[in-house]
Amino acid sequence: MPDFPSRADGTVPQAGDGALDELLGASQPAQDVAEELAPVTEVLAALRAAPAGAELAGQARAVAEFRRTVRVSHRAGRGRAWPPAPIRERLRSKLAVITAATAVAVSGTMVAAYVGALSAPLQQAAHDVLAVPGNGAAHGRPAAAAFRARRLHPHSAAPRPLPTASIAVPPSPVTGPPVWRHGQAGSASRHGRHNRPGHHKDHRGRQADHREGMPGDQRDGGPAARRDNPMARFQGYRYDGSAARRDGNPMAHHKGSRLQSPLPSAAVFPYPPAGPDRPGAGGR
Amino acid sequence: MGDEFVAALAAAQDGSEEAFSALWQDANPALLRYLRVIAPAVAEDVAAETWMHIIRGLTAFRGNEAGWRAWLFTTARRRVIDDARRSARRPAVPLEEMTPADAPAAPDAADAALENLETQAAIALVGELPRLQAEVILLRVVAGLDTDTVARMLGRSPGAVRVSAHRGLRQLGEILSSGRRNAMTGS
Repeated sequence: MPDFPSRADGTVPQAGDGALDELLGASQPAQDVAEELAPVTEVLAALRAAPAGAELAGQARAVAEFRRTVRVSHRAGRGRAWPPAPIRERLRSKLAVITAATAVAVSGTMVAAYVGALSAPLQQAAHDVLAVPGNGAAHGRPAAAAFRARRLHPHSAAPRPLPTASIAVPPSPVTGPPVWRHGQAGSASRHGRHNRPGHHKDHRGRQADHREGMPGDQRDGGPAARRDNPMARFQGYRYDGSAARRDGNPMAHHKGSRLQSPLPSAAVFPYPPAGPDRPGAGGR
Repeated sequence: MGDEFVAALAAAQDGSEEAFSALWQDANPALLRYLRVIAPAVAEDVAAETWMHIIRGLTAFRGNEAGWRAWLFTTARRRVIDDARRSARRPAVPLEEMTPADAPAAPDAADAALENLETQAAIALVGELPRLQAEVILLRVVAGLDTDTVARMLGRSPGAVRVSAHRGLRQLGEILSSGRRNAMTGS
């Protein structure tokens, strides 16, 4: 072992912590302490000495490993998709969040539009985009009120407010007098109350039975359909020109057949919504 | 390496063998000196394992020279711990059952004799210290890490690391002094 210098008297150096910190930091300690710590300083200097040949012997092996790894990574990099995996994962998570937020927003808007909680322009837009029944002040708010009334009093027999848009088929010189449809303002309740005498008969002159479970009720989709869709009771009521044929008009069938679509027509759903100056405008 | 480090690291990450060689030449001697104290039997093997790990993660490394050295020595330390665990699981073979052919080759005595005798002697001296003191001194002196980084590596507080370093240096002085006394008394 080399002979590191030590104090001649063989005593242990009593340097302070500051001096030891200076030694560890490779800075030169103060002169008085330097003499005292000379043996330790020599040892630390030997630890920091320039590398010997044996310490550099493994370089070729390390470089070969580096070359092989670089070649493999470059080969893998050529077939690597863009963007890189970390960015791709980040984009994927962002896309998932955006999709979830969009789904929540759209479904929330649909629910709000269905219950009529939106303002008139938004309700109109929802009607256009999402095909939500009821739009604007004429349809959205009464629909919401009816929905809430049904939720609160599901078996109430009292007449409830209904959309009051005019649904009378305009009189025609060919088809004869107008035929009132089911759903005319104040004409019916879900439980068979009819406050308009003319409404008890359908356009064929038969007694219409609107009690739940009766055949006449099945034609408009049944009570369940009406509960889910306020407009369902309009569907299935067709103006097939029978009344006009009864009046002896041979062309009535063809005229009336235009109205046989089970879907609501413009006559049933007036668009744009009825305003305050239009007949049947219920307002809020 | 100083100012050259950033350029060397960037070039090595770009695949330059020369740049990687420069990084290796700068760090490997210190790494070996550290490993010869904390894992003398497997220092070269652990150093090679450490560099393989470093090469695989080189392109993802971001940091300065101090961070690079901290990464290197932390990796080496973990490899030592892993090797110790593996050794603990392996059954030990009694020396009596080993033939001379099975015995591990001794370190290159010629190299040790001819090269840097003082460094070898200093490593041997530090190796006589308690493990924590020796490790702290080597990480501070050989690896060039500051107290906070060493504390993070060892899972100790900076104060504890500082105290260990001071105790180690004082004990080193004691060892040197006692050696001098022994030499003077001829014992």
